[in-house]
Amino acid sequence: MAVVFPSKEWMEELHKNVNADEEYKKVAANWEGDYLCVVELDEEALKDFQNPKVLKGFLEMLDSIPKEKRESFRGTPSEKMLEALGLSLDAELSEVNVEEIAKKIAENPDKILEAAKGATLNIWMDFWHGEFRHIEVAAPGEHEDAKFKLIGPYAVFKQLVMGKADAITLVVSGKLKLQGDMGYMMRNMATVKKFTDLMASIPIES
Amino acid sequence: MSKFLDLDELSEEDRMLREEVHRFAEEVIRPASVELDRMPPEDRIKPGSPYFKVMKQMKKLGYHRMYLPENKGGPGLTPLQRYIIFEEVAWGSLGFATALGVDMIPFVSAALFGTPEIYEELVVPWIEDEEGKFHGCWGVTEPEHGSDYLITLREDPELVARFGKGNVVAEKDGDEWVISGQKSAWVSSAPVATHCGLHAQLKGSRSIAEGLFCIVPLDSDGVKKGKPADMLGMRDDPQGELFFDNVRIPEHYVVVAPGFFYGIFCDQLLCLTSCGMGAFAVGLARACFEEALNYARQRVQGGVEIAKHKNIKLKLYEMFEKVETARYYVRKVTEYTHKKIIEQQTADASPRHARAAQIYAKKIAYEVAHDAVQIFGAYGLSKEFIIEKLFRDARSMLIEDGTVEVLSLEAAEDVIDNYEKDFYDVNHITRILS
Repeated sequence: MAVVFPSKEWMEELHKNVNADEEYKKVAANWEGDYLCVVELDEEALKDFQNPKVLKGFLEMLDSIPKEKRESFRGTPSEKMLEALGLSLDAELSEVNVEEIAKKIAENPDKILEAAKGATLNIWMDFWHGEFRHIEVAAPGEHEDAKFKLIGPYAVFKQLVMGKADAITLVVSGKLKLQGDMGYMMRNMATVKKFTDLMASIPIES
Repeated sequence: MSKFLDLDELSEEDRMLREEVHRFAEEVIRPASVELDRMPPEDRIKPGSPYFKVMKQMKKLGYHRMYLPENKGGPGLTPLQRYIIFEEVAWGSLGFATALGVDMIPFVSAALFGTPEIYEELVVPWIEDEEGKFHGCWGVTEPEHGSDYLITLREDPELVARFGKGNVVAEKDGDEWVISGQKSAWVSSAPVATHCGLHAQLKGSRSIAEGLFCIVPLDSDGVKKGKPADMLGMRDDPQGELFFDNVRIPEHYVVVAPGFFYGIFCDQLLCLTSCGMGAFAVGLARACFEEALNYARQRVQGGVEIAKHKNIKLKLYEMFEKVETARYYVRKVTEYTHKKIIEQQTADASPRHARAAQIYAKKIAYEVAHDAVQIFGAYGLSKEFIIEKLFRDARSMLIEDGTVEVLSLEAAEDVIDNYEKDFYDVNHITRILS
């Protein structure tokens, strides 16, 4: 089933697919550790957010962060972006009128883009011995001690998710930045590759 | 001579491939290589030169695509089949084998590690080329940095910093990179190439380890080529300098960005090229052995064929032993290396084993060529017989693509640090590029 990216459905589909894959279980049998993906919101993101479905997916992801954790957004570019969209951190972000906000972005993309400068969508994923234990949207500063941190613009993450480029290519070409124990990463390249192949196999609704 | 007992169980497809490539090497490559060897360097690169005729035919046969995985437009060859093509082409000519190898470097690297944009823009036209319109070369060696490039990743970072500034530097300017400097006269195929897979140091960085790998179209503004060099051996593949004067390339032509993965890329690319050089050396050694065997069976001295003399028998046996042991070691390493880099695309082949394949095969190729000339006597020193050319090529191989001494020192570091490890340890790269 095709899902929207970014969205909670995409996260759930990824979680389900990885855990259902027998080959992944085998290659990742020794993998221990978590990832923090820091998706930098860029021009491409703002373009996609003009589609109400995509915007809804994004806002639902943010809404999955418990309200008490949202305090860490105060003063960040992400809060400024929400303000530019006329939204508050305390709002029920899943229930806002996405058609109206998408229209607002379409009417003034440059202004919203300026406000969104530095805003990120952080996704935390935890893996242990062949099991994909958990995936969640993280608040700023949360899971900063993850074993690996993958940082890059939304447009590049989208290439990865849509299977247009693989993670190794994107990291090697410098489009994605990878921080963490590189020795461990190189010893487990087969695990990384299998995971990103599974990620790319999820059909994305355009 | 194309027949020998192959200890691998070749499939019908493998056998047919070997026969096809051997026939091409014998009937097309070798005569052209002898002709080129005797031509002045400037004439070898003129339109109409036998060089271009052979390259065009190789493109038509699709040999240039052989390293590409199937999902990137490759023909789906096995590591053994790739090895067979290289051994047979090198049996015909070390120069053409090298030309075929370096042609692949920019484009295969871009296919394996580059973005979809560069694949569509540069790799696809190269894959589809049947006319010899595109020709790659590998720009590593520099006037002030030859062996430096080989040892950089394994040396102490402070010492590497004292190697001095790279002769080619790259600087980011907006969404472009600007390349300046010079590669040395030993860049194989440079005088005839259309694209260069180029290593350049990041401007202002501490050492040549802090570099990037990019593709530079050689018709870009600011690129100049030097005169083709007049070398002792491998004269059938023109070599020459490349000059870059503020050459601008788009950002996506940088296949490997500066940082940790540039180190991984250099280390692993040398694994792939080492397998190639190993196969070339076996092909060349076999050519020398077969020439010597034929000659010894016919040449009469002391009233009998010289093959009946004990000292010649011993030499021939030792030559046979060297060719055979090198072939199966290089094949085994090729199988392992290609599985890691081309099939699984995990970039974790074993540097010490790949270097050993190259070093061992190069050394035996020279020893076999040397003994072959000895068997030929004065005829071996004459241009009348091809063995004289093969000997010069074998001598060149001890230096080309890294001197055997520096390659051995570099491999030794990996042996000493990592012998017991059953995985690719990247501590050396972390140390210098973390």
